[in-house]
Amino acid sequence: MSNRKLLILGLGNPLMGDDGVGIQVVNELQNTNLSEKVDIMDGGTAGIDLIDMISGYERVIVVDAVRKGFSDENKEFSLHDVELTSVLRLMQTLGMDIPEITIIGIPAANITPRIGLSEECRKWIPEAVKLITEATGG
Amino acid sequence: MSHDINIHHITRVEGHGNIVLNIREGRIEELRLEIVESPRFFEVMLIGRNIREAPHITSRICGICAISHTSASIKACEVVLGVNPPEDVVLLRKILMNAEALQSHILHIYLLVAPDLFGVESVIHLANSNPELVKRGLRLKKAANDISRVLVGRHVHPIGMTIGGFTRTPTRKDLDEVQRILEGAIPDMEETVKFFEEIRMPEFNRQAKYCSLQDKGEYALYDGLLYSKDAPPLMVQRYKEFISEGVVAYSTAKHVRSGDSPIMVGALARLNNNYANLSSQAKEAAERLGLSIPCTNPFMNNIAQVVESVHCIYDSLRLINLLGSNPPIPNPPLPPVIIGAGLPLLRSIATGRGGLPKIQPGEGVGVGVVEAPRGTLYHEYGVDDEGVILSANCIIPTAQNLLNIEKDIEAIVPMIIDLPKKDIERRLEMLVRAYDPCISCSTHFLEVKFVE
Repeated sequence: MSNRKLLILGLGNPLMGDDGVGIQVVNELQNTNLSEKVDIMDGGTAGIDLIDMISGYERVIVVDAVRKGFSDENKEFSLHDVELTSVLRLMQTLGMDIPEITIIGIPAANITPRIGLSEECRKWIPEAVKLITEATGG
Repeated sequence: MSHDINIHHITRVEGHGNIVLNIREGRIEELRLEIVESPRFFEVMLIGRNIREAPHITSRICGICAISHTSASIKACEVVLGVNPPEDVVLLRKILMNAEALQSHILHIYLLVAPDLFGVESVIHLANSNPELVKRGLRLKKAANDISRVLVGRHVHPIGMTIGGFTRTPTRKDLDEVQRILEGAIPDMEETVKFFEEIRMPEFNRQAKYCSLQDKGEYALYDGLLYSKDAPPLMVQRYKEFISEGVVAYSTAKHVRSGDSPIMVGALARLNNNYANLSSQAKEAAERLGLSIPCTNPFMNNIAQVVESVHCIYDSLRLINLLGSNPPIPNPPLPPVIIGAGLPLLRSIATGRGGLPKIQPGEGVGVGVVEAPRGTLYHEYGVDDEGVILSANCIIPTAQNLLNIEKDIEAIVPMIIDLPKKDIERRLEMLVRAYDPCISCSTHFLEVKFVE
């Protein structure tokens, strides 16, 4: 367990095309000086293990691929098996401390078994990196 | 009576499936377990890549058994490349396999099976009614994950495991921490055994062909020969004489047989084959839990997972003791391969540019087999003399169990046909779930339709 208060957590599967964009973002953050101030984690396709990953932090910024078309009207956005929201509901039910969570969702254009991001999805990475850097006061 | 039962599973990253069961006048007219799984796509994905990338790519196939995929892949690569890992490395890998079996079994028995036992919808409901039970499951799961975190950075995609050893060799201090974690988990494990002592699994027996690895003097998870009761043990390289794969029209998963027979793999199969090599504490747990060998009740696979969980804790303590007071021997450090970091980096590692050791491809075909939590896992790669993968085969435990699950359903339906629909549905779900298939994480989202 880290003494740091903030975790940047990338989620997704790099073998499923754009689903891996969150992992790509945290890989890029590893090479910035931000990595000395906060914890940066590649959470892969973690399900229930998210509990262990986020517990103990005051704040977590999740970077993940989201369905295209996510909006205020359409809130079905997660692409993953055990959704973060289910995990948070379980933590809440058990009275566990839940960090403040910010989700940076990057629209996925192509979720098929392949390694590599579509250009449409990749173009969001610099903005995500910038958002995270700003949000962390970096 | 006529039920048309369709059980629909919601997709997971690595697969999804349906049960289609059509019963008319007490007879099964149609029974299909339709599974759509992705490993075949991953096989295609490996072709044309350098073999050094395979463990890192295949570690992403599954978020639950990442260490098993990585280990099977590394073993196949080591055969191809002629790499013999030092004994310490093997011992550490065995600890990691134990940790993975522990976390996977705990996830299954606490978060997926326990809600069934209490007749509640999901673990969220169980957390409401029995919070201490769920917390205990989560503590045990955390303990297992912490072992992986200490040794290889994390459990979900174990970045520290690599061909020949570890990217960062665990220190004596790390091993002390692992020992502390294991000892700390013993009281919760004991409570787990106590809890399951009170549970009676449904009575249903059907003899299956139990297949697993078998090792001399050790309960086989990491290494061994291919074993089933009626045949001489086989070297893993000859696995095609042990099992055969076929494709059926209604499922994109490969169906697996041994000879003409469906097979069962996983905790119960391993216990049936290798009971003698369990730790004494695990044998004691088996006795307390009423699991005696041979056991032909597939529902008891849940109990076999409890027994194996006990074994994994005590066996890991034994392995740490074997590693002795000296720190493990470090091997030449190699940078981890990061998927998505770009192919030029991966190629430079593979070809030895940038001051890294060049890999000498050896035999051309490598087979790596381990016992993943859910059963035997096979990886096979064929490579050219540059180390480029020309062919890849990956056989996952769930695919091996599919036919046997169908046979079990055929056998159990006549016994439960007069029960109310809800009970039939629940019993069939429990049966499928007992096998802990990859799809089982989503079975609480089952949608069951009866059409009459």
